[in-house]
Amino acid sequence: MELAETKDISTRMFYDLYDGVLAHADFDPIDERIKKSYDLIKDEAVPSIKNEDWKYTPIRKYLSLFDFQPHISEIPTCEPKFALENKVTIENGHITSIELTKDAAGKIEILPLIEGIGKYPELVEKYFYKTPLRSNDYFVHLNQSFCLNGLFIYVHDHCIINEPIYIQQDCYNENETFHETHNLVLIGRDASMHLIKKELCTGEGGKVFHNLLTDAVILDNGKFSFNRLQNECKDTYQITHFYANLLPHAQLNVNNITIGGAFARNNFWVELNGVESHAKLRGLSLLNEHQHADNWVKVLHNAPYCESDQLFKSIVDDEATSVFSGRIYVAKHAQKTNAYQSNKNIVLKETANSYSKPQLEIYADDVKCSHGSTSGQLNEDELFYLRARGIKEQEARKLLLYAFAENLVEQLDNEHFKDEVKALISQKFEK
Amino acid sequence: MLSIKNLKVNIEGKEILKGLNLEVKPGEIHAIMGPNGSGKSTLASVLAGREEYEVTKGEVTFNGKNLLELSPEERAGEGVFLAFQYPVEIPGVSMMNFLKTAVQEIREYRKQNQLDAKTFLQLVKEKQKLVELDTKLTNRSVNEGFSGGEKKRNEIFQMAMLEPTLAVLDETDSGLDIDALRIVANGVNKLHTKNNAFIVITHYQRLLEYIVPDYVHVLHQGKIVRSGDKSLALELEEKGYDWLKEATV
Repeated sequence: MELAETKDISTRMFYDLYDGVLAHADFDPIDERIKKSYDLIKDEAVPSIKNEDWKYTPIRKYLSLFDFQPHISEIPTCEPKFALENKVTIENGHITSIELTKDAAGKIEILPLIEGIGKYPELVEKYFYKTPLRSNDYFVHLNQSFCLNGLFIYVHDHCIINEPIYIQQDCYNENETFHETHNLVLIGRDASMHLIKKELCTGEGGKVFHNLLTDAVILDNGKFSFNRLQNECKDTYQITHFYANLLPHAQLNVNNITIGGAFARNNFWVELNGVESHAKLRGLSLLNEHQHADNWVKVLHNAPYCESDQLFKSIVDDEATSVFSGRIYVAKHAQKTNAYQSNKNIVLKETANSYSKPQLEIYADDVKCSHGSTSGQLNEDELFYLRARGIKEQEARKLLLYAFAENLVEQLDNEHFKDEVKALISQKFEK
Repeated sequence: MLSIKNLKVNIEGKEILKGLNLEVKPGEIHAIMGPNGSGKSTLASVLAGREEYEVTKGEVTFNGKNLLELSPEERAGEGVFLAFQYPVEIPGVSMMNFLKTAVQEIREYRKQNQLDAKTFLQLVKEKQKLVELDTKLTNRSVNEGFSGGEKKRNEIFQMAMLEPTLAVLDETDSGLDIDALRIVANGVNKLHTKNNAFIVITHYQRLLEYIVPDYVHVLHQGKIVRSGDKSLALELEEKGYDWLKEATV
């Protein structure tokens, strides 16, 4: 369903928005990267539904809803402060506060992107601006062309951050805005961090389009747990990219919960580059009205003895659409790989849609891989069983929907966050 | 209490029940026996309100109300209970949450007070004992990972919790060993009063040694072809169902 487009939906449109950004960035390493990324896409149009990766998500249609006004992006600065919990606040695309406990402050550094790059140029050179480029994604190049905004998070070697780091991202701009964010996360050797990110909008405002990228590198035996809640208002559209590069014995645990927002395309690109590294990815989308959520996943087994496990679920109601496209890639030398992928969808109305594309690409011969996908309605036998015990149909449906979401929510490893998500789920089902 | 008159039921266009009549009064236990495919389970499903079954003719009244017009949950509220032949596993719905919701909804329907948490837990404990269901119910999903015997005991346990006036046991004996059968039957006998009634659907006479029926009906090709007292069950056990086929040809 591509709308007739009268607009120029190409890189030029974004360049007009950021007119001057290139001149503004007189910072050498960034300048070079910007030019490189920009050169890759400068003459390109935004992908259309003819592109296989965007087949079920008409991104051009979503972009054509916007009438962005040019502005010059400011490079923000923000000093970390001591506090009782670890919390970063981002408002309308800008970091407004960074708070760390005394315990965490010695173990972790959270800085605005530009400051982080300035402070640790050799680490950036060694680890970053690499994995995302390998995916050769239009919106990644776009992000790297213009983006000077974001967080630099570095957990020092052998440091365990006991308390979670909360990131609250809030948008309440009155004008239509286009935000880009580029986060770099480096988990040191034997280090561990637990990130909980809540994306909200507390005020009604203009439409927001967000192109957000997180590039994470987990060094040997490091652990990174990332819980994310997408619960924005109806005017939020976003493309998000999560890249992870896992070195030997590294562990990654991602839980992505999508409840609010008009449109979200979430790309997860996980490279298992070190032996015995481990990645677990969970996604839950609860969608109604005209919401559209597309989870695109690629897990690359580039080393032997690694394990990955994907479970993505969605419940779609009204005219909502969920898309899952997942691929497990196993390189020729990545023997003894265990890789699992599962996608389950419940479609509540005939007007709702769910698309699923599970894929395996295996070049090694001694591996255990599985994938599966189911889409359907609520189980009639289960529904009847509950009703036969006196439970009203509507209540019975709610119990079953909750049960479908439950096993994913139960795996969230932070009790506060778990309770918050549970409450939001019941709220959504009340509607 | 229950009155079924000339009931005809189709499923997917095929007639399964072809004019069934049955009267059940409070305090009575009725056994319905019959060969495979005679319509026993269809009768149970129609009484509980499964929507795939199409009633083409006849009427079913329960305590003066037209049962066929009520939704499954309203029937449960009115006091009808079906013990399923194949209890459904519902992963993710905890037994306790399920029981609490069912008990409170049924009490609301019957205009009874809601139970407080303590009374509810006491009731659960007491009824669990009745059916010797000693498994911990907290942290378990409905029927998930239950053995065959546990599932059937769980049905009788739910019956005890919901206090129906008419319970339909659909082949509750199938797949049970002799000890489990005795436990299930004991549970039923303890719950039997002069105010409630049971319809026991079974293929074999075995269960009826433990739950003694007042009436035995033989269902064949969608109709009750013979009714009698408990001695009819013994006769069936001896002769099998073949004589029926000869009799109806």
